[in-house]
Amino acid sequence: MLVVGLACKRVDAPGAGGTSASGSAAVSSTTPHAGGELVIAFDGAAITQFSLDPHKLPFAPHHRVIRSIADSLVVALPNHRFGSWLARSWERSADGRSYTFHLRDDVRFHDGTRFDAAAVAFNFDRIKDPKNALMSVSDLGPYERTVVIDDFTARVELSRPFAPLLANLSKSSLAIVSPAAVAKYGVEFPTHPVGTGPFRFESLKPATEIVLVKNPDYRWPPEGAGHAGAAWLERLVFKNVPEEATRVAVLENGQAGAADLIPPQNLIGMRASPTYRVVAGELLNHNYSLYLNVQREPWNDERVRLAFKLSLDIDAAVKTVHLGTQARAWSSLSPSLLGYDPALVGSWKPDPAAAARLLDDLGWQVGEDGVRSKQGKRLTVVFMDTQGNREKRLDLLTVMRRQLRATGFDVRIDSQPGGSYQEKVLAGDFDLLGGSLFAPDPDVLRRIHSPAFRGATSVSKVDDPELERLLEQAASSLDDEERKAIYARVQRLVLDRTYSIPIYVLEYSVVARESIEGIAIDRHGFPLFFDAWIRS
Amino acid sequence: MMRQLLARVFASISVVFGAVTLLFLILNWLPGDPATLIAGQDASAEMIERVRTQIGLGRPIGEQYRDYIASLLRGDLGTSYVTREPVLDRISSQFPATLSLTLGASLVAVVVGVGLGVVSARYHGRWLDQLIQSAALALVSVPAFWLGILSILVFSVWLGWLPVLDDGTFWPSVLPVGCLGVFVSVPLLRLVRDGLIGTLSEPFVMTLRAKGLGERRLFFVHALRNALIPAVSLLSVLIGDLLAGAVIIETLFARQGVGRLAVEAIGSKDLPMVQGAILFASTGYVLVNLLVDVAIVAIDPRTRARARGA
Repeated sequence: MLVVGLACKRVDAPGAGGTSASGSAAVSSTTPHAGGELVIAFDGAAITQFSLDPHKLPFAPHHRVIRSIADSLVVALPNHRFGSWLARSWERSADGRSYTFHLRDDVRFHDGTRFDAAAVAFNFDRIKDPKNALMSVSDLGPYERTVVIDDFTARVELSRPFAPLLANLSKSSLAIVSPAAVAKYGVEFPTHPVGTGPFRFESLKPATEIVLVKNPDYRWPPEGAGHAGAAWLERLVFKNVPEEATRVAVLENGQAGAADLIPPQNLIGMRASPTYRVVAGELLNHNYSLYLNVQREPWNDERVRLAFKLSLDIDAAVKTVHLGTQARAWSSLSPSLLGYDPALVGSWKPDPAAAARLLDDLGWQVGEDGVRSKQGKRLTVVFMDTQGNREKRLDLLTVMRRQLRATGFDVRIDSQPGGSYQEKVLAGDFDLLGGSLFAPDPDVLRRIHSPAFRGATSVSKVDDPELERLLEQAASSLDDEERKAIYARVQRLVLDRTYSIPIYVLEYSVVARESIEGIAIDRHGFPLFFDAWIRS
Repeated sequence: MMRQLLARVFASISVVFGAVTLLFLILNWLPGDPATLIAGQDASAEMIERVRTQIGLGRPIGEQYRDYIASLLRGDLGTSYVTREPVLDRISSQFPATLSLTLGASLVAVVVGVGLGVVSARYHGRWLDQLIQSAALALVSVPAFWLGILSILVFSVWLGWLPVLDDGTFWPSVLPVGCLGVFVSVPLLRLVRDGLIGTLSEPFVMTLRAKGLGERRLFFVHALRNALIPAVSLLSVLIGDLLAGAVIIETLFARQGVGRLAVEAIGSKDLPMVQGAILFASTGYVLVNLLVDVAIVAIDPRTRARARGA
């Protein structure tokens, strides 16, 4: 197991996928002091009700709060290593089918009950139980059971090797919650979360506000944390402010000490301003990508998909819309994920002339209005959307629509409420979709592209035996080098066959007022408030 | 009079019942399966099916409607598909916020609309009237959303006078209430102004003038009372604008409220929640209309005379 000294935290080089900070006072020499309340205006998008059960919903805004309430067994460290958290150490069996975790013996949940091997078994069994219909079940992969060896030793058994296990365990979606509280609150647990984290849940106002208070007994921060002992802040108040202009306003007028997902035009100004500090980190992610419906004509023809791709100038689109605050993506995987293949950078160029030739050869004739058609069928691409302009996605599409129009594609945007969107995706009733999926391991490619493994409403409709075989092989390989080699092939294949077109890498950022120190972004790209404090 | 009122009440109940039924049908006919949405992006077909059974979908629509109406009569609005909490609990926790927002905004609308309408009519054709008319034109031309953002920028960011986020005090309500109120006041303002100007040229005013009644008394007592009658009727229409505006204002100012709840519930196809929210909105609408009718009878002697004659 790796031991990392407390001194070398949060010093990852900016751009290497770790936390980077800018602004005038990113590094301060003053010593932290305890106390105070931090109000965070966060983008809760279309949250109807907070659901703070870490195992229940995969929605990122919830997990940004949950991370402060519940701890995980292990923590993700730079260079794809894992460090101790609730588990002091662990061993993997030779066949890769069981992991023995030696747990800390001094940890208590916020309700006073003891954290132990039985609690670990309870959590994973609860997730695995189909009756509970919990979303985190896919993170456990081929999980079979947890054997309680003694009070503080738990053995997790799998039916076959599962390479992403440790990475998934470090995610908040497999954070450990109090079994007693789950039993006590039942279906109301998502609004009464109890974990072992540095902050405990105090109260919420539906869809608008969550209040956390410091857990004074906390002394089990993860490896790499900035200090030992309890958090500095007395209270954390998360305010759901869905409108970006309002987030900017409340940060500017000082009502909020920090705000996330600030629009690019404001972010640029705030980076340069001494009044603010920007903390940012890459979200470990299957990058936001476009998916043509490969099961539908004419997108089932690889050449039409290629023509579509060659018509796009993604660099131009991302620069125009994100103003340099987000990088253009070359691979499906975000750069800090294991197996990301840097060789893909610059591997193709927009080529509208070649796209036009391809379409000409295939019999798609340019009509009077510039849109191509073949045997009376127009080259119309219906882009189905449900999330609106989150992360400027519709703005991006608007730019790309013009690029596509130049080679004869007619892109229409069909905005649907969530329910009908999912139903149409299920039925395959669309031409083009966009989407991202946060994940700590390249196995996310299997969750998107493998028919046997992906969800019924996955954005990808790809059914490619070669791809499937590679993805299965990589998921059960326990050799990182072998996995990297396989994923390099997979990324190339997905790009060459235009199964998806990666657009941008999301850098998640929190802008704080200059007096707020120590906010960090973890390896997954989620905010940490454990080391945060307020300079008086 | 009493019979008339009873007929009104009965008609109002029918309107609410009709709205509920229509909405039930529309929501059920709309494409989109709540179960796929609740189960989430990664869910398998089995999980979606499990969720579907869990929330009681897949039964015949007639059966669902019968159960819905039956529980409605017992005061049970059902359980949210998404959060599994009773809809009534959720709506009643959000309702006070919306009520205070819309009541406050109505008050602002009446004060601003009637006040400036009177001033405008009094200075009819002069620069003050023209200024108010131009401002009103500008206000009706901008969306409520833009007005909200602008007021946040000016009063909260530049001047630093007012907070935006709810901090448990009265102050964060000023901007949202003010914005919504001012936004709704414009049609009222124009109606009061035009009504006053029109009334002042009516024969009865000339008669009163000839009888030597003072200008001030003439204007405020006789003309204004006449001009207010259409304004009060307009209030019953404006309640719709208020509720629609509340949706935008609640989102923009990150407030709780039934409007925001309804929109988000529509997005997640949380049918019981949508139905509950619309039931509240339609009941509110109908109640306000009923009150307006009663108020008109109270301030307009002509309707009383008609009622007696009927």
